[in-house]
Amino acid sequence: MKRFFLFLLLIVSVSALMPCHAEGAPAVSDDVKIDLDLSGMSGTIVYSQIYNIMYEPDKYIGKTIRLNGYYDAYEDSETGNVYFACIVPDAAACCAQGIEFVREDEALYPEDYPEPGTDILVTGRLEPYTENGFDYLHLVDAVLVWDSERD
Amino acid sequence: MEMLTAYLAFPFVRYALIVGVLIALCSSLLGVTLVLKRFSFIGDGLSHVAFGAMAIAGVLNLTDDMLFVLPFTVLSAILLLRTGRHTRIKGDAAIAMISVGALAIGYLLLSLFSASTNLSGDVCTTLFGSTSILTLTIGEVRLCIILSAAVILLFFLFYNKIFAVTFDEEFASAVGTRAEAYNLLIAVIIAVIIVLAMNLVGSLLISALIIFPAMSAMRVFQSFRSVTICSAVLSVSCSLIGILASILASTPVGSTIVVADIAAFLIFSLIARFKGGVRS
Repeated sequence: MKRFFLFLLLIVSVSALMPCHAEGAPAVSDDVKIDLDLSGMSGTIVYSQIYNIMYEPDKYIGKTIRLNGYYDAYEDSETGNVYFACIVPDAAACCAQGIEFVREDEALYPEDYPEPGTDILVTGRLEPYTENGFDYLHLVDAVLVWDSERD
Repeated sequence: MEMLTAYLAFPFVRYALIVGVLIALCSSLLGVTLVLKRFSFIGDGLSHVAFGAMAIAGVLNLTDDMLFVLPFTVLSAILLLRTGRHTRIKGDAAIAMISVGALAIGYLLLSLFSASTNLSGDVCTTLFGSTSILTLTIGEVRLCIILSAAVILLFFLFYNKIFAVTFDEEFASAVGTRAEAYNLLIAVIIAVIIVLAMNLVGSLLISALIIFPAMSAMRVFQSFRSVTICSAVLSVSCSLIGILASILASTPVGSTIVVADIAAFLIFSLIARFKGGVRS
């Protein structure tokens, strides 16, 4: 019994060290080629890189990007459209950069999404789109992963 | 170390290191002169002027605010250093008035007319630098290299004259040195450095870049030349350490550089104490 308890303790400890694991979301396939992997990098680097992506999007369109940040959603009360984003604050916590994403699976909102503010890991392909005459960028076919322990 | 190598692969990290080193070098060169001329606080005053100018440029929707901010700050520097000695409002009072006045007007203009949806973020970025050094465009990097090269060139070309004007302006004038002209040159160079340094540490922390390396060097060295060289080496080292530490630890760039400068000052003060006697 004591050994079993120790074994369980070991498993719990190891799983606590895992960065994220999925809940109700598909795992990112190993054969997906990530062009720009920002996961696990310092917040300063991720913030600056997203700024650069927004400033020079042509360099990054069509590339698969992976990043972590916190989840947020915005619901347009007029159209009913819901927009999902991965937000990364800067080191001074006065500014934030975010990338909108559209999941590849038929996820229902809000059931299949985490609580706003939850740490998430998003992998998707950067594509431009136009809405109401304005140009935007988002990650399409995105795979969303979050830590279910925090939900 | 592996992480640091990965971070250095990003062009914006390399840009930040280049610009950071250049700004630190320029500010330390002039820092010695400013501290010795008792103009330590002019950096603070001019940086607030630059903040006000940046606010006006933002309200006017100028795409390249540098074209407005730089001449505006240069003009203010000239007014502060030249007219300060001929008017009833003297040096420190004039700097203080311009400093707080520009800060207040800048924030007021931003509050009233700014089209930005994130006013507090914009103000915070301008005042504390945030990560603006890591979001430079190649055009801004080129401009910084050109201006820094001009500052360094001017400093070395007029090193002897700046030295003379710094230590004894009246004597320098008496022996035929055009002290007014060199004061004007110093004012222009200071303004250029201030505008450049706003990207690195933000307008509130610029004075630290100017004062700390010079003061640290003065703890240990005595001659103008050795203090200037030590100040430059120290400033560049602290800037590099600060930028790299902020990237690795996700801390604000400007304040991390200033903390590195403070640490260097404390170390140099200790060295001075061991060597015997602290110079002021």
